[in-house]
Formats: sequence, C-alpha cells, structure tokens
Amino acid sequence: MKYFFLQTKRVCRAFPAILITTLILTGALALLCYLQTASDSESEEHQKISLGLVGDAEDPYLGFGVSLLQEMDSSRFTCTLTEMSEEEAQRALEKQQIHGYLIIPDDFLESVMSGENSKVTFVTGISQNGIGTLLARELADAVSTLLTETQSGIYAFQRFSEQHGAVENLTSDIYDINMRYFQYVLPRAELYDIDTPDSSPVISMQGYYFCALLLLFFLFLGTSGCHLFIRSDLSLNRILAVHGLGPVRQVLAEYSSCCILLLLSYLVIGAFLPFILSWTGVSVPELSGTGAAGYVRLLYSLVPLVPVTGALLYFLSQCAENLVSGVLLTFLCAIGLGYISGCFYPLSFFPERMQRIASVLPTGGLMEYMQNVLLGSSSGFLYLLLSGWTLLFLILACLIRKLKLSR
Amino acid sequence: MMIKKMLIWYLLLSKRLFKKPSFWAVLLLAPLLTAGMTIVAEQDAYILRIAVYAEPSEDSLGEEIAGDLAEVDGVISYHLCSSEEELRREVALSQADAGYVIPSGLTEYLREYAAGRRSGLPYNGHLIRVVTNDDNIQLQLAREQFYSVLYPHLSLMIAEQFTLEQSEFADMDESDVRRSVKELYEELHVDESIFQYAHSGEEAPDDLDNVNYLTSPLRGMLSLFVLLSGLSSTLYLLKDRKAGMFNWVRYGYRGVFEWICILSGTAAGGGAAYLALFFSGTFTAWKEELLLMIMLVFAVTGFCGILSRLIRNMAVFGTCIPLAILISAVLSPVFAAFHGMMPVKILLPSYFYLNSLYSVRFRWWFFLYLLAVNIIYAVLQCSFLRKQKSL
Repeated sequence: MKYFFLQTKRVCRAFPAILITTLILTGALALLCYLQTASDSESEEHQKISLGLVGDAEDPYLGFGVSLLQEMDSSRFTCTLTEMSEEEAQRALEKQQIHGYLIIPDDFLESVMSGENSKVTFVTGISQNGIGTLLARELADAVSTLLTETQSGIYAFQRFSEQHGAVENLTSDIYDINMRYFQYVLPRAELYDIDTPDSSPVISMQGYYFCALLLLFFLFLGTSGCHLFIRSDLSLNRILAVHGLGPVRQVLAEYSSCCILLLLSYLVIGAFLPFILSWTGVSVPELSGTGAAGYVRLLYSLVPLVPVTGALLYFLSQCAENLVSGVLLTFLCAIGLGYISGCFYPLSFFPERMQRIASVLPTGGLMEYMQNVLLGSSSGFLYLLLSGWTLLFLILACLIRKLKLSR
Repeated sequence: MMIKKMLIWYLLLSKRLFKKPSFWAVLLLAPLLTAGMTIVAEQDAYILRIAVYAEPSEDSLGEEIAGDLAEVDGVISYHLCSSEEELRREVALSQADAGYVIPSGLTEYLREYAAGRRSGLPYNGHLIRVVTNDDNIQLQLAREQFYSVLYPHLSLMIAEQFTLEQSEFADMDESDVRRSVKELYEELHVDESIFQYAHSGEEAPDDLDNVNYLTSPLRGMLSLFVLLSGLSSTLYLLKDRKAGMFNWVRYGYRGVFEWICILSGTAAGGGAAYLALFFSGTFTAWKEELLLMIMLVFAVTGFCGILSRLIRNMAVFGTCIPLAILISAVLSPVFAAFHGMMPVKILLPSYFYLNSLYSVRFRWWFFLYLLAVNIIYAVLQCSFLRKQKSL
C-alpha cells in the first residue's frame, strides 16, 4: 500500500506537466477542428472533390465546357472545377486546396472531333494518394467512358449517314445529335429513384470520429507519461522485493497509479469537451439533446477506457529499457493499433478479415464499446474481451518484472 | 581531425543506444508493422460496398450490367443479391452502403427512355431504384460509376433512336437501321481512356494502378516515426544534460556533440523507416528514397536541436512531443489534406519530406529548410555558449 501511495504521489507530482500536455493537446485539436470547420462554410461543399482545370485560356470552348459542367451537369454535386494556370494549379495542389488538376492539351477538341483523342493529364497530387484522390480518379474514369461512348455514337451516326448518302444536312445533324446526347447526359441524376427506408441505428460519422479521437487521445497520453513507468534502474525494486513486496504487488501498485493518471486526464478532457464541441461547431448527433446529466452518464459509461488503456500502456512501458525505446514503442503501438482499429479510416474501409481481427484487439474492442455506449446498445461480450486483455497485459507485465528482478 | 572525432562520437553514442536489445526490437517493429499493414492492404478493401439486384427477366441486359458492376475494379465494391428483400436487408443492417435495383426488361425501358418517353419508367418515373440510408458525396460518385456501366447501352440506343428519327432514313426497316448503327458503333468504338495520370506536372505521367488508400498513410506515419526518434533522443539528451553526463566534452565542442547525440537516435529511426518503406509497397526508386530519408534525418536533427535549445525543462519537452506529433500528423499530408496554416506547416520537417516525393521544386525547398534549421541551431548554440562564458 505504501508503495502504491508513493507511486501515486510520483504520478501526482508529474500530473501538472501531464495536465498541461492534455490541455495543449486538446486545445490544439480544438483549434484545428475550428479552423477546418470555419474555413469550410458548408460541410457538403468541403466533401466535394475539387479539381483545377488547366487549358488554353483563349479557348472559348473550354470556358463553355466548364460552365456547362458546373451549372447543368450532375457532377456539380460531387465535384467543383476551377479554371487556372498550371502554375496556380500546382501551387493550389501543394497547399492542398484541390485534389488534383486536369491539363487539357491545346488540340484536345480537334482531336476529339477527329477521333484521335489527345490525352488529358490528371495530376493527382505530389505527396499521398488519399481517398479523395482515388475517388477523383474513379470519377475521371467514368467521365472518360461518357466521352468515348458519346463519340462512338456520334461517329456511328455520321458514318451511317455517309454510307447512305445523307450528307446534305450532316453538319447540322451532327450538331443535333450532340445536343441530344447533352439532353441525356447532363440530367443523369434523374435516372435514379432514391429510396431511404428505416434501418437499424448506425453511428454517425461525427460520433465515430469522436470515439476514435478519444481512444487516440488516451493512447498518445502514453508517449508523454511513459517516462514515469519505464524502469532503467531497478535497484529500488530489488530492495522492495527482498523486503517482501514481490513483482505482482509492485506491478499492481504501479498500474493503479497509471490508472489514476489516466483517470485524472480523462476527467480534465471530460470537463472541457462540451465547451470544445460548442466552440468548434462540431456536433455529435448522438450527444445532442442529452443534457448535463446525460453527458455525465456518458462519461461514467466510458470509464472502462481507463483500466484497459492503462494496462496496455503500462505493459508497453515495462517492455522498454530506456526512454527512447519506451517513447518509440508506445508511439508505434498507438499508431499501429489505432490504424488497425479504425481510428484513422473507418473500419468498414478495411478487408473483412482485418475487421474481424480488429474486433478482438483491445483497441478494436474499445472502439466498439464506445460506439455501443453512444448508441445505447449492450456490450456484454465486450466487457469479457476487455477484462481478458487487461488481465493478460498485467500478467505479462508481472512476468517481465519478475524476469528483470531475477537478472 | 574534427571529422574523425565527430565520427567516433557518433559511433559511441549509437553504440550506447544499440546495446539495449529493446531499442533493436523497437526499430525492427517499424518494418514489421509496415509489412503487416501492406499485407492487409493487399486484400480486397473498399470505401463503399454496394448491393446490386437485377429483377429476373428474359432480357439479359440487367444481369449483364449487374455482372459488369461486380467486375469493376476500384475503391467501390459491388456484389449481387438474389432478391430485393435481401438487398434491402443488407442496406438496413449497414452490410451494404447502398443497393441498386435494376428493373426487368431493361432494354425496352432504355429504348423508351432514349425515345424521350420517361413517364413509363418503372420506379416512379425513374429507371433505377437506389436504396440507401444516406446520400453522401461518395454514394453520388458511385452512381456516376454505375452510369458509366449503363451508359454504353444507353449511348447506342440514343444513336439508334436519333438515326431512326431522321427523315432521310424514314423508309428503311427499323431493325436494319438498329443493326447497322450497332455494327458501326462497335467498329468505331474508342476504347482507350482519355486520361493519363501523373503525380506532378513536373514529371512524366506514370501508372498509378498500384495505389492503395490503406498504404498511402504509411509514408507519413514513418516520417512521424523519424520525427519521434529525434524528439525522444532529444529528451534523452536533456536527461543526460541534467545528470551532467557530458560534462567531460570541451565547452566549444558541446554544441556539435549534442547535435551528434540527437543525430544518432534520429539516424537509427531513419534507417528503420527506410527499411519499412521498402516493405510498404509505396517505395519508389532506392536512390531518391535514400536521399529524401537522409534529408529528413538531418532536418529532424536540426529541428530537434532548436527545440533542445529553446526548451530545457524535461517535463515541458515531454509535453511538446505529443503536440509536435499531433500537429505534424494533421498539417503534413499524412492522412488527409488540411488547408491553410501555412506558417505552421513550413516549420515541420515531415511537411517538406512528404511533399518532396514527386516534386523537384519541393526538394529544393526541403534542402533549404534543412540548411536553415541546422544553421539556426548553430546560431542558438553559439549564443548560448557566449552567454555561459560571460557568466
């Protein structure tokens, strides 16, 4: 008990620094959320794929084409096109203001009319290929199909007319068939009857990322707090072991103080969260209308995060022998487990086998548990899974301590 | 002489880190985790899952389109359902993000549609029924993809219908016109895509077929790993500085010694990250990757050196580690692009590293950045030593 109090005192002494970390981290996250929501007046607008269009500025057809697409085509709901010079487009891409840009060759229209299509270069980004870029590419493939199929239709009509000697009004007929295609292609969204039936409750995207951020927050607290639990010098622990405080009791005392540290951080973030959400304008549908009592109940329901992440972080700190290894190990595990458990991309984006593996991992279990809490669903099996992992981490930590003490 | 001394310091400081087996284990964990993620990414993974049901019919076009959709390769997956009830159940239980119901007798409906008779279309005057819980941008994009599969059939019918409407061919047999136009349509068909893809306007267009959204953040994560190696080495340095471990180093050389101390940990992290990149499936050319990694290591060393001079308290520095990682993760394009905050972005080594991959111009900026951070570190160190001397 004395050792536990000693450890708790140590943790409490370090708590102001950890508290500052927590507050700065929370503040930075809130600021980033605020800036992101403030810069995008409408979330729908933000989700659209934004592309730059680089072409001959003198070409009247290009401007006509862009305004046609932006004012009449169904793609205006999914994609925004902006005419710009190549230099501007490259700068906008570097600043991540657009997902990519299209370079239309000068002879593009002539080549389309002659049937030898010059290629449009789709520059998709200078760094990573994110989801936005890949979706933009899918859209480009679809647009390519529309253009080439339309060409085939027009050429077929032209050739048919020529074969049958009907060339007198051919120019105006070709103009008419072009217009006919426009009539069908532009309002293509009208082809669909959208039916939205009642369905089982599903967590909103905001709710999902609320859970993901909370879990990541706990995992990354480990990088700033792990120095408290890494033991490069075990002299004191050896003396304690000689005086009857064995590895199990040492581990339990240190683990409990680790949980106290996480709990204190959790209380701090819990107290600030409603203000942050209202300030940033981020609304979590599952939290709206719950009131203060409901919010406290939610915080209480999410307390199991503390012992499980505490056990994981404590176990990781026992695996490391020095500070550098400890920080790197905690970071790698936090980012790896966070990634596999769907903290960065929704879990549904992963292969099915991976989703099954994630569901039995401690972090995957925690994600599911938090979502269940937000949706008000039961989590019977998850309690068992999370308790199992906590116990396993503690047993492993005990074994490591025993091994280190016996050296 | 000085270089030899620096090399010896570097080797001794590296040995100090590498003699701990846990350090080896952590470094090897980076390529292992990356290899694991790459294996995961090789399996089928999709952003959207869409169920498709073609109502049973003598006309095979509906089934043909459903089959074509199921074969579409990309970030949207289509699978076939045996009934509309099954499709609705999958959407209701969120096993599918949306479902498309294709009517029986699709060819006839398409002909009606191409002829401008839209009132007779099967689903409240529409051709296709879309069952969905939500109608977001991704689902609207998926509908564009669906249209691109349906459109070749519609396009042919538009061409046929337009030809039939011309007075010059009024006395010709309808089926002959349709057959001839179809033959010409197939003969004159343009198969090649009008798009070619490139990462940057500066380089030749390349093939992006191997791009996977699950592995795309790996490079960013590894750059954060290198940054963290530098930050944790600096934390270690602060601890040693406090304990007076390096008091034996001559005063004038202390700045260089501390720089090498940070470099030893960062270079180890950089080596592990380079190895990890090799297994990640996002590796490009080894020489370019090596150059960029070396630049990152030196940039991180300079960046951490500046921090070590500005923040001397261990607890405060520990506080800065998650903050630096968080800001780098959000502002460098690791997971998603974040607009704005350029003054903060240009302080981060990972921002330059990630953008330099396909941009020669950015590589020059990166080079200037690494020079700047190391010069600033040297200036700070000199002013600190001068201050100490005057005391």
